[in-house]
Amino acid sequence: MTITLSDKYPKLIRDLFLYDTVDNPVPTNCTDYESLVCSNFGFLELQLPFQIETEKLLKEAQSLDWVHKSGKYVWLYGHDKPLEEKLDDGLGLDIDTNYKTEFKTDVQHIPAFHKFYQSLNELCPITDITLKKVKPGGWMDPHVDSFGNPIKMYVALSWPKGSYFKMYNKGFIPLDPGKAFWVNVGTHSHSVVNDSNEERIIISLYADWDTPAWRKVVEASYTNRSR
Amino acid sequence: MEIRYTYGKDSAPTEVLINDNPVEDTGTIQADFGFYTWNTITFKGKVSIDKLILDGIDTDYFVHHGFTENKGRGNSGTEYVKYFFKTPIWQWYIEWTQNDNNTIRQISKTHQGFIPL
Repeated sequence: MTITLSDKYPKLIRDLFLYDTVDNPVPTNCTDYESLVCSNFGFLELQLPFQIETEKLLKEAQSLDWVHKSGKYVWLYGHDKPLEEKLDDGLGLDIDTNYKTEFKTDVQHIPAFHKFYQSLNELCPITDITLKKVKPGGWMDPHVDSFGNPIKMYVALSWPKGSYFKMYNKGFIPLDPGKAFWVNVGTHSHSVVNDSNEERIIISLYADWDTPAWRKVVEASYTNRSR
Repeated sequence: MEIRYTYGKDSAPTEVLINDNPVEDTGTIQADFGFYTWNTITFKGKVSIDKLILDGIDTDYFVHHGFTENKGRGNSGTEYVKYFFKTPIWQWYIEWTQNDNNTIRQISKTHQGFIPL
């Protein structure tokens, strides 16, 4: 699949979306969790053993105070404990302190988010969870994320028509509200665009993926993936 | 393909070469390159390069990785600054930045070229 974007987006993104025709999110011959992780795969749709309450999560996400970052997109740390504790535990970086004043920790106001967090945390300990928005007309240049933990999970809460998540040499991730993907962002360049008139909101998180329960989720998702 | 560049303050360029052939030093150059070919642009003289835009793509990261007469890397030299690039630019640039940031490369950089076994 290719996408023709208008001139308002940087040429690097336009060329990536237009000329990269490769569509190969995962290899076809993986036998187990290890072989998938070691395959330099791009992305895999996840079949989680619990329901994602997309509409409730979206409402809660929209009710939060968002912190603007870089002017192009905004994010908020949604960890379900005070940020100070998170920092004391060594889970955050120094730059997180910028978000202290805006941070809301009261999980009573975000029950669906809390439930989602707890459900996933039973499968794999979450180390960092973030809500991210891309404004209408916004984009992120092609980049590679941290290789400390190269695989990230994304859950789309809103995905207006015209939203794209493109991974170089792997294809467009078919995100949609309620869909969850395991994405190898630390290995492959990727770029996002919101070519719509609405905000695009996703949950983005890192976890310790090396648990027996999570391995089962990944293996089942791989086996049952749509082809 | 269009090449645009901007010199830094106090630059004193003497010549611009594309694939070792002199071209007019106008700040904007039109040149044809074969698909999937390696090419060079060389700025001779005492120069620093502030911007290098290849095929409309700002190679912001790239300007710090020119080859200079002192065997170092950077965007300024007393004799020349030379850049390599491959067409198509978008693909070369994405692959280059992706690989330059990969795990082994980062470890290698940190340890001055040694890859731990």
